[in-house]
Amino acid sequence: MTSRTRPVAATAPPPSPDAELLAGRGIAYVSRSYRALDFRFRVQTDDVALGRYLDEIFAAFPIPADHCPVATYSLLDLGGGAELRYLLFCDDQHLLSAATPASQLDRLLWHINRRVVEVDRRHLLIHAAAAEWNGTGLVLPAPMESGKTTLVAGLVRAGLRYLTDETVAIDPARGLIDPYPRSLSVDSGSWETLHDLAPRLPEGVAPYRRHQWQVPPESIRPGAVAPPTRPGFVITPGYEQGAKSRLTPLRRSEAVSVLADNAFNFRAFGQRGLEVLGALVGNAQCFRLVVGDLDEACQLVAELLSDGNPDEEEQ
Amino acid sequence: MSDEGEIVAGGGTSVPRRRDDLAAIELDGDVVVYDAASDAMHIFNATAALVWQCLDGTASVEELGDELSAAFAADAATVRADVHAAIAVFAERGLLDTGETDLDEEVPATPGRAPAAPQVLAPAPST
Repeated sequence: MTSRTRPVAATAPPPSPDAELLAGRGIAYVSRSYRALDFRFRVQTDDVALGRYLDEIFAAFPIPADHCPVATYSLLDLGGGAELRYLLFCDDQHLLSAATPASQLDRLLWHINRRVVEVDRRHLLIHAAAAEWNGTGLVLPAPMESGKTTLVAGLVRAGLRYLTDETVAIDPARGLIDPYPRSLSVDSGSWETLHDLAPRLPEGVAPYRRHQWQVPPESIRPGAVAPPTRPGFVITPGYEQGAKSRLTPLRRSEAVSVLADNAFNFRAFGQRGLEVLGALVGNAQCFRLVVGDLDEACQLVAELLSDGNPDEEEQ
Repeated sequence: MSDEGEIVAGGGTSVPRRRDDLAAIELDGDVVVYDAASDAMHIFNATAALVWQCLDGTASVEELGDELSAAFAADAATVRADVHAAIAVFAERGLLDTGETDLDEEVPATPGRAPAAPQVLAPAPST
């Protein structure tokens, strides 16, 4: 979704024939093929270390049975003589010429996420993080900069399983959250809080990291990715510096509104979208969560999960 | 009362009717209405939800007030005021069938565009 993700400042692509620019470049590494929801892709690059690193970043995505990608990204380095030496292509479309490798990687990840949302016709897609505990899903819808990734990272670190940090995919037919287990994109503002999740970058790859860590969920804990999960909680988080973390009940009607406000494709679903969200919250407990301290907030969620039975009096 | 055929919010003899093209669900007594044409979502509390359910185009505002006050054994004047207030809000938000035909082409879906901010009808239930 274009308005909720942050494109890297990009230089306008040159008007030269893209395919010719790409042709003839040395490709040293081709990644496995991956399926991110309904978007299938692979990455090729002239930098073997980068290629291996990307395979680590994407490792939680399933591999298509036929190993056949729909899109092939190419990351190329023109070398020291060129100011904008780092190039990114999607198939033969030139997406970016950048001065830094970090911009190149940021743009690749942003573009994949955008394509995941664009090509999906099956799911109701919500800008939210999600995690699972004992077969029950927690949907954490919120606008950008609300601390979704930090919260879900804390929850996974505390023992929950990971579904996504960015896009919750609701399968309307089954009423399940299908996992979109991309690597958690942890902003620098949360590095201190999540210091134990700092990725160990392979040699030669450090320049590709700038403002965000990419934390593969399996690096937090083996087996950390959940299967398709039925949602049982809707918790909309908001970070408030210095505040005492607290959970307050949210009316289901308001939860529907929050989910719709954060949906990428609600309008495309029309009336069916409201029915899907109604079914989701109809079986869920709904809350607002003020996050002042991450551990405190995770503890509140853990207590909520351990309570088990929905407290209808508070709804 | 206004010209014949026009719905005026709260007009006692008018017969308001919900638009047929709206999606609505009930949750814990509230009603959530989605207007796909304007991509707007509306949340109404239990009182307004009750009025909403009654707007099938068969009863006048005055009749609705009387029926609801009788059903809930509540003060007729208070209930009428609530009904008028709720219908005024529905009308203001364009949720009632005015008999007009909008020929404007619907704006195509844009990935990532969220519905308009929801609004909760303020008056507390008094029935």
